Amino acid sequence: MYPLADEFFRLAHNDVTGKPRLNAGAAGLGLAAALLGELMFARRITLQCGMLEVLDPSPPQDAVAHAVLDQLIAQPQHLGVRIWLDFLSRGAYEEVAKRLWRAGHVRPETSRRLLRQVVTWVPADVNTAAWPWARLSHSLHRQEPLDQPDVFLVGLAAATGLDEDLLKGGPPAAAPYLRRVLATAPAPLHELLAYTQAAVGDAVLSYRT
Amino acid sequence: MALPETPSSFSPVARTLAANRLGVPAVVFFVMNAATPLTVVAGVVTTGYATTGLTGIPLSFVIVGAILAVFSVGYVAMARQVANAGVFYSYISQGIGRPFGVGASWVALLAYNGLQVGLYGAIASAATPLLDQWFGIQPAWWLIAGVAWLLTAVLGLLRVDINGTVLAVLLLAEVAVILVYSVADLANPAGGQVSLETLSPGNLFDPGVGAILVLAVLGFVGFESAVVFSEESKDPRRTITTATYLSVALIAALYTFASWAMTVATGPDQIVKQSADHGPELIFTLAGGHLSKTVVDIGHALFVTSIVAAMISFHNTTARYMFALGRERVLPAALGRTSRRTGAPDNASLLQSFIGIAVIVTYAIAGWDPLVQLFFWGGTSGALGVLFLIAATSIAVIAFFARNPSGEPLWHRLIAPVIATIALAIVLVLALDNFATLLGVKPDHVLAWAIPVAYLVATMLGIGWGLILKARRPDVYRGIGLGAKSATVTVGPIGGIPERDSAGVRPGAHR
Repeated sequence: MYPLADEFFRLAHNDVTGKPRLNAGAAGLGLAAALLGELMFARRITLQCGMLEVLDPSPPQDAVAHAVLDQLIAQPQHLGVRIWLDFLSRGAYEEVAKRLWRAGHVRPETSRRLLRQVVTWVPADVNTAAWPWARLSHSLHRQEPLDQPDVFLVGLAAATGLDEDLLKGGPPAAAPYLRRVLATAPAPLHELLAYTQAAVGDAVLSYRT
Repeated sequence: MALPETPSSFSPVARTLAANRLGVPAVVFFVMNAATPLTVVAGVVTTGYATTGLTGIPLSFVIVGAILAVFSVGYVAMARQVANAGVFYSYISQGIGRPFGVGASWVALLAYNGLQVGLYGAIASAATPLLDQWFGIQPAWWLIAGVAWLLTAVLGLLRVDINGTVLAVLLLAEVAVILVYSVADLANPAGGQVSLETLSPGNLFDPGVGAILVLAVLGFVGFESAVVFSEESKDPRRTITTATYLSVALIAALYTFASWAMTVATGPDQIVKQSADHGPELIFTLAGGHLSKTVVDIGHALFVTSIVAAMISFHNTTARYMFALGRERVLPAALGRTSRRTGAPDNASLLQSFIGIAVIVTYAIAGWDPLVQLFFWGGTSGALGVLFLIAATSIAVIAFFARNPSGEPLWHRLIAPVIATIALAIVLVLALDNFATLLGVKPDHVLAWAIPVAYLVATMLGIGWGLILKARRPDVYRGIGLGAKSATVTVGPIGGIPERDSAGVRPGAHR
């Protein structure tokens, strides 16, 4: 099972070209939430009433998760989840992309677009890249049960606006099924998803050039 | 519930988040960008003189500015205590009650739509002189409006607001042009004498004063948005307070000066006739008599960019409004979706565009006059709605602080808001009484009462919907007024995180 943030990264990009499906703001927030979600699944942190709490400070195996946990432990005075979502969202894209690169799943390709250097993370293997998408939309369309990490991924998709695409081509009953599935998420994960959605919405409302 | 703590200055979190912190000048700039001065001076003021026949417009800017300054005392104080601070209905929800908040949000939608769509009526007046001069063509007004509409619709979907630097440059240029024209006007007064007549308090006792007070409100629309930037500003308390007062003062000063200078150049007894004769061209005609043709041409070009900028800005504001209401489920939740590729509130933007084109087409087919009947009527009706909202917010401030003093001094939470409420109530009564004068129609004209009644109906329907939500969807009801943050207390079936249904603590239940 791949790390949550890696799977969300794959959801957010085209499986062949690696071009982003999701705008940078929502992708950053989704990846930040996924990184926090990884720590939650590893039982290192939990979330209640908008505040994160470190349950177990022992370092997780993954380097990126370790770094995030270290930052949380080092700043006990800021435990509001919104602050961490905003803070982590700034570097999350690059951190997760590099983690995928180190594991050999993507490689960077620089190109020029409108006078700017743009890096596209091209997948090494189309099947691995397409797997989260295929898996989630298959289960939703057929209304089959999903395991907890996949429920969380579906929630991230819903919070960032990717759910419409997951449901595309599926039966009408898939949409209410998606909602029912999300309603079963455990409280801390559910709350994280709600705050992520609020953060994505706030990014729209406070948008300025 | 606990709001996220303000980061201290010694942590990487705080330093990173502080990287884009705004100071007073930046916030004032963002607020004034919504002001688009030339649209007001060339468009609203001249049409106002012509339509109402009243000369006290300069004084009304002073009066309304003073009232809004007093209003801002309580407003900014309450902004520190509430979530979703940038919109009036949020204050009304959290101060008076959620059903009233819903009513207020529907009034706001009507008002901002009026302001936005009204601009399509002005673009032709601004663009035609230039098109005639450069290309020798005089297209039908709805053709020009249609092109502008297309531009706005596309930019709204692509989530392209005009670049901040470009907006700042345009704003400075507009202010510069207005000042240059106004000084030229003062240097060449009609009859050789600078008259202060249109500034004299005697104008307050003219019948119809309510009309020009509403008109002045039009100039201040957007002043309330400084509080949106509190999370991004260096020292939220001081920065936002200073920025709000400064914005009100600058707006009042600029418009008072410009609208008065105009009357000096024509003579107070001639301003109405000249405005009626020349329309928005008036200030350019006056300037043309004393300034070089280049300066006049620059002014013309800036007038067009001003209206286009205002169009785009209001389109996006209204779309974001509908987006926030969609997130709260006060409006259909589909409006609360964002485009995954651009992050723009695409459904809301499309709806706003549809309303715009529908109005343009209707006016084109019916053959109604775009300048007075779309731009001026739309704008002033919108201003009336905004006046309702400000007055209701003022009451909400008093009610809120009566329940939660929040450590604010008496001046902030009671004295200033009460003074402001009384003043606003007087202005409202005068405005409703003189609304026909404002529109330039006979007192028994249908619009004179239809527009205020429309606001009343919107309020009643909104209150009704709020009460229905309270009874049927208490989870949604709890989220009213919180904007995007309502996701943390409520559900959203389409693309939203539905409420947790298993036993246990529901997210946000502690609020």
